[in-house]
Amino acid sequence: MSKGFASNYRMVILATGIFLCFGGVSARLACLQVVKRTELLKYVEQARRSFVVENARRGNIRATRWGAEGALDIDEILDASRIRAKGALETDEILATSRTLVDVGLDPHMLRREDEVRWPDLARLLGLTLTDLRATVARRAPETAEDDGPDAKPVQWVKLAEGVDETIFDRINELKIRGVYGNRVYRRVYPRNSLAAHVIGYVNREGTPAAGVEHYMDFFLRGQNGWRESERDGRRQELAQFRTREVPPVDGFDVVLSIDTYVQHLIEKELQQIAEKYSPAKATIIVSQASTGYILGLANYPTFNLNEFSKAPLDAQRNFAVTDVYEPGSTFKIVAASGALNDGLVTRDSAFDCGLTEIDYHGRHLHLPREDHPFHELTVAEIICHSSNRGAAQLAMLLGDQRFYAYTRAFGFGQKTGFPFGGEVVGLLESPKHWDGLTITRMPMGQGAIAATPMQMHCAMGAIANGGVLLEPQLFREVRDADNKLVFAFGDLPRRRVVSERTAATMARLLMAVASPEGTAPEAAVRGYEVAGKTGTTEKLVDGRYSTTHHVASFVGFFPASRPRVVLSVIVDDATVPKSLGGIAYGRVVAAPAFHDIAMQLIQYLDIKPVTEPPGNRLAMQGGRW
Amino acid sequence: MNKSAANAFINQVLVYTLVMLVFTGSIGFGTVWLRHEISLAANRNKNLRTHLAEVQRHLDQLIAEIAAAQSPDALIRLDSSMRLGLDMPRQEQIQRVPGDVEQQLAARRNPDLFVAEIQPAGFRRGGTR
Repeated sequence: MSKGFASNYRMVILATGIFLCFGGVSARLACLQVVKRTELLKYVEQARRSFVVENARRGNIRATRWGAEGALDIDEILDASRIRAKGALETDEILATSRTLVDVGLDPHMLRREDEVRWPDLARLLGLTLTDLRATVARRAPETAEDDGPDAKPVQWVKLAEGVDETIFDRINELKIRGVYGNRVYRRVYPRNSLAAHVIGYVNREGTPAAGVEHYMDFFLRGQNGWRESERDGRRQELAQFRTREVPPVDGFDVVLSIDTYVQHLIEKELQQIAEKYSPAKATIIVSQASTGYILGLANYPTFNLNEFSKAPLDAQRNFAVTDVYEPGSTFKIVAASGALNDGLVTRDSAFDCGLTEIDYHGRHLHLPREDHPFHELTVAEIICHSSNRGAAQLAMLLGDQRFYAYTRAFGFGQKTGFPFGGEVVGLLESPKHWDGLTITRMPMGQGAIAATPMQMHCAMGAIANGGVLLEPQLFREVRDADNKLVFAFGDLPRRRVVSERTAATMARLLMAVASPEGTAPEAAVRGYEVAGKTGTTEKLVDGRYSTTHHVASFVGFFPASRPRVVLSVIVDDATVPKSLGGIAYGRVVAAPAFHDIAMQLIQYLDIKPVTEPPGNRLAMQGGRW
Repeated sequence: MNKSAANAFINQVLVYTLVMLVFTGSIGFGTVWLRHEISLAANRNKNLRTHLAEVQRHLDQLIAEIAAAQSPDALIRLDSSMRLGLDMPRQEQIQRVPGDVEQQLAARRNPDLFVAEIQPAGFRRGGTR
């Protein structure tokens, strides 16, 4: 082996130098990694560690377009898979959604003079005047003498505009004005403003669901926030390669309501017309599907804009359909009549003397309530048709206190209907042991020991429309994930059988007569559609006495009577009726025409076939001119 | 140990050291390159996700705007401003046709064909097979 350059002492020096360098590096490493490890790690943890929470997107609240399914039979409607195959659910409409908005502001100290030429564009995009913008920018200096102290901090963030759209913010960014930047915030928006406001509820500014579906279905809607742990550099930028742990966010589910936006709009429009015409204190309209209890529309007057909920008085935010009670009046007569028919105590042709003013009952001599019109002998069918108070009282007496009370409970009075939110109240129903001598004569006509919510009365009528089975009002149809896959489907919720199917069918026929020319509400009739229903006109209690000028007018019914599709309730509280229309807010005057108008529109929209062909239709078919 | 043997040993140590330096240097550079590539890929990934989030934000905005534009109030305003006069049909305007409309139209257009089709099968007296 040749001596090579290794024999040179300089090589020894070089080698020594290299080893010394290595030694130096090793020593430094040892110092950093061993001696100062704890101190440095603490610093790194503080300075570089980054923990970022990724917000989950809150799910949408969607409506259903029942009109798109109108051509289907009811069994087909319940078969969700077929509905999807037909693409009906693709037309679902959004009632509440989440989106990001940008709060745009500026740091006055970062502004450059050369950017001032672009300020007019900035002002235009933000909807400000250039003068306002300049005034805002001038806040660079402390505004008051108190702010001018030694501890005063310079103004670093001046808000220019709140809730700016993403597209506008993109255009602001394109201006490239240094110092102008934005903070993104998630906001809940309600694209249809006041539509179904009492049902949807809202999420407040702090992001807390405060009312309605937003609150009740928050578990499904809110999703689950994700997070990631990583490091950031000296410029506070995330070093993506140092992401150590990451949990992706899970977006909230969409909640599909049974509410139909068209039906909802229809009844809100009708309420608006009622409000303009009769200036009521409040009013409620409820529409539901007869066989399932799905609520197609629920509207109250007065209402409020969901996007401006903070401006709405708390009173207007109450869902009167479940929070307020009223004496149901003559609509309640269905209980006594159904009970007596169901127990076989009477037939539709059984006759009662409705001209009596007094009657003996269990050894007591009772005064019967007065009638609006004098009657003599009326059959059960006529008692319903003409809404005889004395007839209803005699039917209840035939049942007896306990049976009448049992039927009242069975129809759902004095207990919650199961409407899931909104602070539902149970109403008022006294047990027979608390009844006074007159209760058995007054309660059958919906006065005295009974007070119900509009929803309770609606469900009671729904039981007759549904062949005698009382249903819970069902507001939800489905829960779907972000990929529109079905997570959970809600069905109908039967509570109990109240009367037999036969009794329900008989009652439906009797109630049809109410909307006939002989009945109390011919205004509600729709030719060919067998409208069945009952009017109600209740005198309101004012200062402890029944008033003759303040009434609750109602019409609660369903159609077509022989195969009910829709249950519809119109309840108007304290309407002011002009003298030309009689001056008294009868159900016939105020509520029945509204029922008719809504029914006419629902027939078209839900494609409800007539039970009997209108004459014009038959002629057209025979003439073959179609 | 004589001097030449010691030199040879130092020589060998130097050569091995240099080889090791080159080797570890390569590994070091490789590692740095790899980490750089990981960093680039991670940043690309992050940018893509940022972009996706941005697209999602725009999509959310679009969805909200479409929903607002489809609201009944907005449609009524549009109908009014464009003077379209759109309205739901009235009951009197609707003629309901029972049965299958297509079948009836086809039967009307081709009466012979459809009459023949629905003739019940039968034998003619005295006919031949």
